[in-house]
Amino acid sequence: MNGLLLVVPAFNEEESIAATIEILRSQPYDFVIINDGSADRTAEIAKEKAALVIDLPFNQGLAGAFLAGMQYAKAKGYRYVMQFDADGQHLPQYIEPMLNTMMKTNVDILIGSRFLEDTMPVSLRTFGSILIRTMVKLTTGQLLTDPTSGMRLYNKQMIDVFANRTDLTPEPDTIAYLMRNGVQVGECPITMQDRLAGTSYLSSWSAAKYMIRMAFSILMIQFVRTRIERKEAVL
Amino acid sequence: MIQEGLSVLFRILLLAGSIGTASFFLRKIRKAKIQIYDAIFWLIFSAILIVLSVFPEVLSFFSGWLGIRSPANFLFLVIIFLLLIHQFSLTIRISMLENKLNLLGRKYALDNVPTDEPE
Repeated sequence: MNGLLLVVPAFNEEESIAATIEILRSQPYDFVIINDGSADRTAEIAKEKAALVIDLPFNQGLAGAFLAGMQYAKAKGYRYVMQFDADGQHLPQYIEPMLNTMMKTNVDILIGSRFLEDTMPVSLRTFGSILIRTMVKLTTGQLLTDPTSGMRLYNKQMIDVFANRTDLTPEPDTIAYLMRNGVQVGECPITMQDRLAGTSYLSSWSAAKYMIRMAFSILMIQFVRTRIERKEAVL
Repeated sequence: MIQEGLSVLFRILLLAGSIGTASFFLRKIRKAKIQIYDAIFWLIFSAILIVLSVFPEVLSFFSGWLGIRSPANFLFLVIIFLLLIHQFSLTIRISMLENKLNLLGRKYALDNVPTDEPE
C-alpha cells in the first residue's frame, strides 16, 4: 500500500468494467469499484474478477458514488484518492506522474488536464467547458484549463472534507467552491481516451443541462454552502 | 367593497366546495396516517376556506382595510403566499430526506464491504 486509493464509480458499465479492472490490476495501487446501483451485471463481473466492490443499494449518481469512495478511503486511512472512471477514458500511465506532481507541489486537489499543453479546440462540444472555465476564472481568479476532467487527485485533507459532507460533489462547482475557501488546486497534463462502451453519466442532451446547471452553480454556490476551514500543514 | 354581487347559488356552491375539500383532506389524512404536524397545515387551510365561504365579508373587510381594490386579489395574494411557503418547506424536507437516504445507502454499502480484501 502506497497510500493511494483509486475510486472507480461504475453505473451500468458491464461492457467495460472487466477491462478497467484488468488495467488497474497492472498498477501497484489499491482500487475500489463503487457500484452505483447498476441494473446490469457490473457488480457481478467486478466480483468475479475478485475486485473490491462497494455495492450501493440504489443509484445515487456520481456524487454519491464518489462520496462512498471517500468515506471508505477515510475509514481505511488512505492518504490520497484519485477518481478513475470505469469506462476506459482515464489512462493508468498518468496516475504516477499525477501523484508525483501532487507531492512536489503540495496542492490539495490536482486535476488531470487535457488542455494544459494543447489548447482546447473550440467546438460545440467544448463550448460548455469554456463556459465553465470562464465561470471558475470569474469566481476564483484562477484558470483551470480542464475543469470538467474527472481525473482528479485529492489529498488527505480533502478526503476528510468530502467524507464528512453530504453536499460536495466531484464536479467543477464544488472545486470552485473549495478554491474560494482557500483549497489549493493544481493541474497536471494528461490525455484521455474515448470511452470503451456504454453511455456516460453525461449523455448528449444531459450534457447541455449539466453545463447550464454547473455555470449557475459555480456562480451562486458560495452563497448557499457553509464555509469550510482549511487547516494548514497537510499530513 | 361589499359583496352584493355574490348570488345565493354561488355562496351555496362555495360552501359545498369548501366542506367537500375539508372532508376530502380529512379522509385522506386519516387513511394515509400522515404525521399530525403535517396534517395541521391542511386542516387549518380547509377551515379557513369554510370560514371564508360562510362569511365572504371577512375578505372584503381585510382588503378594504389594506386598500386592496378587489377582495379576490387579496385572497390570491394570501393563498399563493401560504402555498409558496409550504412548497418551500417541502423542498427543504425532500432535499434533507434525499441526503439522509443517500447517506444511509452509503453506510449500508460500506458496512457490507467484504473484510477479506483482495490484494
